[in-house]
Amino acid sequence: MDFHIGEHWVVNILGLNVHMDTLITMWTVMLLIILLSLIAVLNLKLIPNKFQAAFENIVSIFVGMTKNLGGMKAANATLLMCIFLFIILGNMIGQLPWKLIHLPKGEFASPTNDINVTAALAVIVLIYYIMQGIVEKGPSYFKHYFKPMLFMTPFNILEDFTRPLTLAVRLFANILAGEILIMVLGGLVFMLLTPEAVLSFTQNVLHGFLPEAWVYNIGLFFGSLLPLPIMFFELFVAFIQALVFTLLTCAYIETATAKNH
Amino acid sequence: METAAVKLLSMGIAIGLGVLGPGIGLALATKAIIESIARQPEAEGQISKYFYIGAGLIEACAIYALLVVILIAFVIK
Repeated sequence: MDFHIGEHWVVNILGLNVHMDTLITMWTVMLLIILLSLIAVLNLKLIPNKFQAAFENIVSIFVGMTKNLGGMKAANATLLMCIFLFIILGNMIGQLPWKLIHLPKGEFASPTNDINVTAALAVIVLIYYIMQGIVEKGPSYFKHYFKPMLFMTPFNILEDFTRPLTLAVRLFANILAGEILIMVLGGLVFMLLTPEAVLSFTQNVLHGFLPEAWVYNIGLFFGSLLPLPIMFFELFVAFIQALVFTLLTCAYIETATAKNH
Repeated sequence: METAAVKLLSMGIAIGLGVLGPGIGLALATKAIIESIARQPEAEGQISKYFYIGAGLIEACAIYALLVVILIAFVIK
């Protein structure tokens, strides 16, 4: 078996190399979020129906998060909500049977298994927290580079590079590792279930009790269930990674905008 | 040694050593959460929330090792 990891369907659009598979899944996620939120706010009522109540809960969770973690402005909740919803839906959409659609190269998967997407998200976070710090504190924001003492300045500047790097790589690697795990476990069936193995199993263990084709199909069925526990675990990982990304973003904004520390 | 042999060897060493640290870290985190839940069973919901986030952060370290292995296996020719 040969695996193709990190391969993308590259299309040249106006001189830009675009990863088309990532782009399509990403826009699917964004379309889902936009459509669901539009339906939720279409006719707002004082006594909400279930759909509107669910969205009100999501908003209040993130507004609460901004207040619990250091009491920053509630307006920051928009970015956190945006990032969380995009990442969690993007992670989970990879578990859909996208492989039924054949592409010239690569395959549809989570948009977050492309490092370009996660790096872009991390850069958004970097720019956002620096801008929030400047808006909140003015030019005195840059004083924190020289704290607690002058010789720490290189490390403080380095921090602005390592923060987006770890954010991007953590999310990207977690999702990619999950997909590789599912791919390896799914490919294990075809590695072990060779015609010779089926023949010898039918003759030596079952003594011709079942026809060979049945044994092969039963093996195929149970073998295809093999990646199922990992898929459930991936749904959990999708949630945890989205939460980690959001909470770290929250902590970065909080440290940038904190008044006196 | 051949390049392929060195690659296989280095992949094994990288994932083996890379998982060691996060394994110990995850064990310590699990120990701490079990102790604190045993001490205060009513606070389980609040404590386990932080445990899941911490476990995600710790797990990411092991995933970095896996990423290096993937890079050795598929990217470096």
